[in-house]
Amino acid sequence: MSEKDLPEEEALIEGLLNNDQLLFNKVVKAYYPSMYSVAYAIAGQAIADEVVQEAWVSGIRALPKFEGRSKLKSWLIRIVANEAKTRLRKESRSVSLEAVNETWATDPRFDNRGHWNESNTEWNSDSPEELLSANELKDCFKKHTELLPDNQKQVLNLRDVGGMEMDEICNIVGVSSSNARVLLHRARDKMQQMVAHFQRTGKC
Amino acid sequence: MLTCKKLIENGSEYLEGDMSRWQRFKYKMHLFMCTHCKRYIQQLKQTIAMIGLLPKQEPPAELEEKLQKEYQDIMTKK
Repeated sequence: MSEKDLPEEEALIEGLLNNDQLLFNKVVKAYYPSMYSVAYAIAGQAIADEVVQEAWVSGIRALPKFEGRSKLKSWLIRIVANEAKTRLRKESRSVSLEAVNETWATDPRFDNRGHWNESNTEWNSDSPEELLSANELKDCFKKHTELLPDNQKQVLNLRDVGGMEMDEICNIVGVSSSNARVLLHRARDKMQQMVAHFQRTGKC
Repeated sequence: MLTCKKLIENGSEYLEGDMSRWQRFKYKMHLFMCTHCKRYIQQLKQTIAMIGLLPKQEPPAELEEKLQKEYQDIMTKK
């Protein structure tokens, strides 16, 4: 179930307010990857689904008051983020910007004049579908996404999986737009390097 | 002078269109002359497309059931 199969925003809200069970199930499925990834990144895996559930309950209750100033999805994701932050014991995890400051200085791909050290090789196809036909590579994406620092994971999921706008993502994650861009690019660059490695060696 | 390393670091800004016209011009000039960087940007685009194509995570059946019940409850109590 993807967001493409959902009706337009207005019809969507109308339907949800009028007890459309089928539509509700569709929306739950379509928004789940984004909602889950925010809950997961803020509050951890153990309670991520609980947070999604609580956010939906608050969301349904507040829906009659929803004014449509943002997209329904962004609104729900903000509720998830708030819910997750409330649940998070402040002393155990604090939001850090270390991933933003993670340095590019020692990137082995480049020499000290900023030129490529090694030549990056061509991949065996130009088509993303074809490249992704190897199941090992799909698993590898999953594994390497897990390894990303939380805020990189969050931004990557919201942008490249959830397709949200950058300014909405900044609000949700609580970082400036330049920091959000750095986080996004670090995450994408790591994925690019992972695919390059897989292309060269056939290994994850 | 825009180095290859610097260019790579700003790959997403280029793709997201968050650059001034002058920066963009310099960026494009570099890409025009440098096969390595051109290939990198091409591969970055492919990587982003692949991320979008990955199988989407499904909600656990248990969560779906609970939510359906909550929705029904809230809607019928209105």
